[in-house]
Amino acid sequence: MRKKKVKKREKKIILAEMEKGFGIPKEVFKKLDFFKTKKRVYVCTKECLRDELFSRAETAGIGFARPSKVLKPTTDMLQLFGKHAKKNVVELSKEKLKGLIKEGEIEIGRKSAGKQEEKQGERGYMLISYKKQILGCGFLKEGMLESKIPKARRALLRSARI
Amino acid sequence: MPYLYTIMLPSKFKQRYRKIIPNFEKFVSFSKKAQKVSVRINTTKISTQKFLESTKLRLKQIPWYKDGFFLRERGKEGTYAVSSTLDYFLGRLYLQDGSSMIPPLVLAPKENERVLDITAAPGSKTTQISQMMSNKGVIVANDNSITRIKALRNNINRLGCVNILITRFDVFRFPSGLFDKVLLDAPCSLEGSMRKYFINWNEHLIRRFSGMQKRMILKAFGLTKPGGLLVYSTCTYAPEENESVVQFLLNNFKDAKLEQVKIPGLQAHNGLTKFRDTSYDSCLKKCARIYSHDYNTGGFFIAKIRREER
Repeated sequence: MRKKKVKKREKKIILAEMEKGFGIPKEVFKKLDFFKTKKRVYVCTKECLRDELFSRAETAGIGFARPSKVLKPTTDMLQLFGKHAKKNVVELSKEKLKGLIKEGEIEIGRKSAGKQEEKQGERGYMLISYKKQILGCGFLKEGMLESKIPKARRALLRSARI
Repeated sequence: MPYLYTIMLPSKFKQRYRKIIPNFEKFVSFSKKAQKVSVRINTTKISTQKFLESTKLRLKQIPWYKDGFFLRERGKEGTYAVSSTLDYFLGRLYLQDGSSMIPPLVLAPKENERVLDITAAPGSKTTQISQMMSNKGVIVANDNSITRIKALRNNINRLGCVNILITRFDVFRFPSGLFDKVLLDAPCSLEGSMRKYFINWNEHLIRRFSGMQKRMILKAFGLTKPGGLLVYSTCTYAPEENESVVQFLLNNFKDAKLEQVKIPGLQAHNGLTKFRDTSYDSCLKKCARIYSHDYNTGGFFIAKIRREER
């Protein structure tokens, strides 16, 4: 896996997106650093990145986000840092969560999605929360929330007694 | 699926260990029981106190590790009870045998240290080391199998360990460098995990592993800084894979010094100084042996070796 350290300027952009998108303050990542591959941005400790074996390593830390037009945060990252999020968090009831696990998507009201105003065609990544615990990421499009939790993890969630 | 097996011990196995395993009849009777299921609370994600306040699992403190707990349910029922919780999905819990929590405790890693787990997958001890270091510093987790690395990565991701660097080297070709602390949890004949994994036990297997472990311990010691610590562990009882291996290191490196394995709350047996016709240095007593009937966990052997500064 070809790994490239994320430059200071890129790091600033990543952190700004996290702050703008989910209200996660950049201070949360103060002692951490980032590197990227073709498909993913990873987060790890600064010591990992400085280690003499880094260039020969398979990987380090955990997946942080997938770069596309906007950064898509990973489930692993959200389960670790999601507690710092202040916006775009959708709190689901037991029934809604069960529906999301079963169907893969559910309809949610704008209010429960934390959106104050009705906007036609509103879309974007949301943090899925249940009992104030961030479970992972979802994508909101026209009132429908689609689960973006990876398949393998979804299987664990499906077997969990909620 | 672990924790399923109750076993019939081969007669050769009984002959071999009757004299060295204390309270042997009890040991035999425990081989027919399902072993205790235990969990580690992942303090990277939740404090143990907070977890205990919210969980519905019926837990009992493991005497030697503050973040480790035995489950009241045993066997299959126990593993199911854990893996089907939301906490498990969230990576707040890790299914780990109580005795396998001991080697990281002996290693006692600190936040600013450079630590190597040279045979890391699937990552039980690596992720425990990570939480003991408060998810700071760097742990190099090495394994040479892609399949096992996949399991290691899954565990690291689920538990949220950002201080682990994964490498895939053959142990004998691991690049030179020095670490403050090295854990060698060596591949072994798994006698102490017989109730967990199905193994086709024979003495041939022991001899084969012993040769490999001797080469591995020399390599691991070479990667330990002067003043640093190497912890050697296996989940087997065979002295050829335990005391013999440590003795081999002591014979080859004059700066290797054994230290007493002592963990508060854990009552372990001393290492052996004699097995069949072979005698070992008296200092081998400083190693620890845990048998499955001691705490109804898996069996383990642990040695703590300091590389002296010259």
